Amino acid sequence: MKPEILQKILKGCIEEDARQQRALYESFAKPMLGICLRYAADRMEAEDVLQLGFIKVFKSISTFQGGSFEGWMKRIFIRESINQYHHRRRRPLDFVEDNSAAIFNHSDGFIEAISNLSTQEILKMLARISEGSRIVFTLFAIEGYTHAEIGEMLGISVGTSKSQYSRARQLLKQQLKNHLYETGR
Amino acid sequence: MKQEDERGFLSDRFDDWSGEPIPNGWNGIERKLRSETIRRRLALAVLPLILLVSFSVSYFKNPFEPKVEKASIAKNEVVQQGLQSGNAFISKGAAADKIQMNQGENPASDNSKVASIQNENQEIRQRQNLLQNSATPKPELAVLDTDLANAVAIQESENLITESENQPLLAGSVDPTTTLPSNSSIEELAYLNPKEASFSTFIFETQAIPQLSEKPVSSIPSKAKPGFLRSISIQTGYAVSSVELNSAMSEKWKYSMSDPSFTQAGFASIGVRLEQPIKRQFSCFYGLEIGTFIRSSTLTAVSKLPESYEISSMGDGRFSVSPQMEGGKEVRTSLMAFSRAELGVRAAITRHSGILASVQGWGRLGSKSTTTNNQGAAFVKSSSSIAPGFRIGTWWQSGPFSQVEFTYSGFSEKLTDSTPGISFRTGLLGLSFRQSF
Repeated sequence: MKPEILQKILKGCIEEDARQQRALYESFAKPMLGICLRYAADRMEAEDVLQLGFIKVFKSISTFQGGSFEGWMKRIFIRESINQYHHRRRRPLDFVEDNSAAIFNHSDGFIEAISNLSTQEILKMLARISEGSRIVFTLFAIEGYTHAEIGEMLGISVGTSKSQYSRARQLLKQQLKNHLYETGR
Repeated sequence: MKQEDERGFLSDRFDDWSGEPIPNGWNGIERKLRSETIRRRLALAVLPLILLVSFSVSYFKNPFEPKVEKASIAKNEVVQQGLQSGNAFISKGAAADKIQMNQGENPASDNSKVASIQNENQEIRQRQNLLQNSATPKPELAVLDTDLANAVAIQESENLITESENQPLLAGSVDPTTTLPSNSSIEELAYLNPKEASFSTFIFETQAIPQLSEKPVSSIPSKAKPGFLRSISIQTGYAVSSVELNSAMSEKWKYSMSDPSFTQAGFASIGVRLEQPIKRQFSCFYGLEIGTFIRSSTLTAVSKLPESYEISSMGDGRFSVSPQMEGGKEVRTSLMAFSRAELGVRAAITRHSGILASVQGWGRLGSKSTTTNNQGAAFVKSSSSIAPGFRIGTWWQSGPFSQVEFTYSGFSEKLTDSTPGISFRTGLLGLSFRQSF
């Protein structure tokens, strides 16, 4: 989107202009739903989070300080997804505190193997692992947050975040093996 | 390779990955946004009403108020009954004396006295009724009204008593409250037995009986007085604004103030207040006002210098810039309707003047902003509709029920529509006229 068009839309949204709000929704609904789907339990929940996230965006748009607007929105939707998860479970994410070093062999071909999969296949595999590990893996490997940032977002220690990532990695690696066996690659 | 190196390794894969939202997804969002806006506006509109109701409720819940009403009624009844019975039974001085005593002593201030007098009057009334009922068939009484009939009937009974006991009729010599035992039957008491009553020697003495004057209830001193003082006020004033232009504005527009002092603002409001005396010199009050605030600023706006421009010398040290920069004077006006609730204290320094201070809660009911320059910077509506404020000032008692106040009040600029890059600091100098009722 051209910066001047985005600027016009933002100005309209600040003034609570319904047409500009709709324009913003139509411009960003798809990528934001993509984010929601990574965290939500199902599509229905993702749609709910999308709705809540946009309402939050419209309410707090006047606080946008500049920089990447999409990045700012993305953060709102990720936080909303995590909030929704907490709300659904009625309790914080159930992470087992584990400060043991997340040691694994980084030269095990995991990155290469998973990179060869399609996006849909990756999401399918992620859906099969525990939610705590999935969320940490998504935040770290897909969104690019540091363990410190993840720890802050989820209210866990850096060590726990690392070990959860390690656990997710192991589970995905196992699934990769099965997948390769099934597909005969 | 460290774990940190794997951070975001799948980012690229998901950059363009998106979901397909449901077709009517926007409708749900729009509905929620509108309902929230409506709810917010409704809440702001209802807020003054709620405050007004709470004012009324707190006033009527004043613990003194209902007691005064009840006491007044009781007092009135007692005095009325006493007067009626007393006038009828004037020959029984004790009862009349008691009524007079109670008038003087303010019966409402002593519930036990009121109760005992009520009991006595009840007994008297019962006997009056008995006599009246028995006397009604008598033709002599048929033409008399009820009160007179009572008086005459009683008087006749007195005659019977005096005749039967051979004692002269002396006003105040007999007290029925002491002569009538509580367990006596009418038949045992000859003077109350209608069979023994004779109306042949009718003496109309009621005119000679001194009438007890009825005191108006309001004139009877009472310990219980209403605690609150209500007043209504009209306030208007000038607002002093200081303006500051910061870098955010100059980045987009080369704004400058053509005349820094050329910012005019004013306000007007109407309100109600309840005041509760705490001590002789102090009272606390709480009030509610609704009003409007308007501010108009004149700025000189010049568009930002374009990235490519030419400067050509025109000789004599003069230069021209091409393209020419757009700009001109711009008048930016903001109008706001507000409500404010306040809680404060008032202290008297002299007999007729003093100081006051209060904390306030401001609510924006609505706002409208305009600019004469369509290309000018947009107004930004604040997400907050409620902000704190304060008021300090002096008051002067201009009449027995009127006051004049001169105050300075401040509120958060978050309430008014803002312009990025321009900061206002506004204080309101207000003059108010207050009338108690």
